[in-house]
Amino acid sequence: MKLNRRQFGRIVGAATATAAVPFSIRAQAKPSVVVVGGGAGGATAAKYIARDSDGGIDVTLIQDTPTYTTCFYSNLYLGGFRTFDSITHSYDALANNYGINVVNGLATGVDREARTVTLADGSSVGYDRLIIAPGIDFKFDSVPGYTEDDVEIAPHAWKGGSQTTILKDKLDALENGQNIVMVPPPNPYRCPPGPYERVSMMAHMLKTKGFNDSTITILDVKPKFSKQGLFQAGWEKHYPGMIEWLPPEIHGGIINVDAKAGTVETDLDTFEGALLNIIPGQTAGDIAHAAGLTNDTGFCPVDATSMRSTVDANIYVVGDASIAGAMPKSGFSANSQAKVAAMNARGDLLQSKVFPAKYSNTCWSLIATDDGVKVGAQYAPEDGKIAAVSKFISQNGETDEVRKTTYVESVGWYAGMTSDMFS
Amino acid sequence: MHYVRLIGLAMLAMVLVQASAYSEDIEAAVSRISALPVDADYGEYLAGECLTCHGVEQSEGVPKISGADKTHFISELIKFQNGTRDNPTMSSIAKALGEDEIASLAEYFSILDN
Repeated sequence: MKLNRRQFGRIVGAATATAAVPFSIRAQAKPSVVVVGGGAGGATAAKYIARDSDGGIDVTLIQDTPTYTTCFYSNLYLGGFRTFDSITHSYDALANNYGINVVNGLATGVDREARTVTLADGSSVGYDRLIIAPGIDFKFDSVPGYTEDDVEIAPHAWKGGSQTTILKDKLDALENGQNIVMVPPPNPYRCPPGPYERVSMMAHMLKTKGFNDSTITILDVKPKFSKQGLFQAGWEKHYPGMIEWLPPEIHGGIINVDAKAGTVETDLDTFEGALLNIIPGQTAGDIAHAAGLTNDTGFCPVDATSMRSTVDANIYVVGDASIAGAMPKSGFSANSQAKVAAMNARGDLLQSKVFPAKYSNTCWSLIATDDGVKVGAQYAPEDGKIAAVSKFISQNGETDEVRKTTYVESVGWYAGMTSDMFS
Repeated sequence: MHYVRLIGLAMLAMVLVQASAYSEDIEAAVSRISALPVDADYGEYLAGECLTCHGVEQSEGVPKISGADKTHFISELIKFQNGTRDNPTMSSIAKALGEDEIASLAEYFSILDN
């Protein structure tokens, strides 16, 4: 006899029911978990807690947008491989299938003593456990001359949504001979290969239109980058002469970005672009700072065995806002960390079993049509940090068939991952 | 010529013996893992890693594994571990799994229909 997920849960639940005891004598009502942030970390955590507690925990998910546009795969939208609708997802199934209370609002504060989250409209929600998954916010002062007021002129597009469409519109409006200048962010930042996949996808669009006189200049603030050998070989193969990557030892440092003039001044030269894509340095989402969960890195220290905040035992931090050892900041990492946090939060409240943490991540990147590459690893806690236990990366010289298989695999991953988050 | 043929036959025999040994290794491992005690809760937790890619619906590029035959599930993970099947992602995942974990995962997915 085959079981669906809910039937399986009931059998497991019945087998372990004798071990379960109420969360606390004080609380007669069901225990509650509030999740702030509805991306890869938050949506996954909310779903897994609601699903696995089978109604035993009240789950509230607070997200400031009514739908969610994934940052992962947004580069494929830029390149014309995906539609905007296909990377935008609804929270309806989380509410309808799992009974999650989805609140469309902006969380602005946390009273850790009272265990409440405050929203911008003045309302508040109480919690027994809080999961913070706000992703990143920007350190605009990390790029000289670039300010928050410039984001519609020179979009960062490092959060999915309106920024993604602004960048796409500007890319589509380019004419042959007009150039793109990108300033990637300093480490650590969300999606390490992301800027370079984006360059690949923008080059793909230029090439598709026959814009052979246009160029893309990357004024990097890092001396090296993720999957560098794979990207540079791919650029040479697919877009010869179109992409120039300049590390800081060549351009000498960013002196000033003038978004309105479309220029980036460096020690070496002043670069002009009809399209500037400026991606500032990053820090944990604002609510993590407001809650006092960050350290001097701007991100949140956590216990490697559980993703529990080292500042407050009633709070877990997952995804880009956390300091997760060797794990990169990625949607896949956030999804993986969320499952560990969900299991631990459920264990706190229902005394359900808690198993040793295991984490994983894979980052796929598309360089050109059917030319996909990947890097990834499995992770486990080791000496107080999350460390890689096995890893892999695509190799230069792989056959076209392998590269196509890798791309198709990423298509399957996107479908699986977004289903895991939202269905 | 005779000498060369002998070497060729010897190499072929070695390959056949090696392939047979691999096959026996996999069969033995499947039997051993299939006999291990399983923990459904553990299988459910571990399955979270799989479900990030292997969604409940069949999708392009990533096979559906819900409802997978237990023996087949175990043998494929062993093949990813020992390199008989080649996929860097799956090899990395399989190498990070212990036999007790594979047993619990196989049990979980075998009884899960969707």
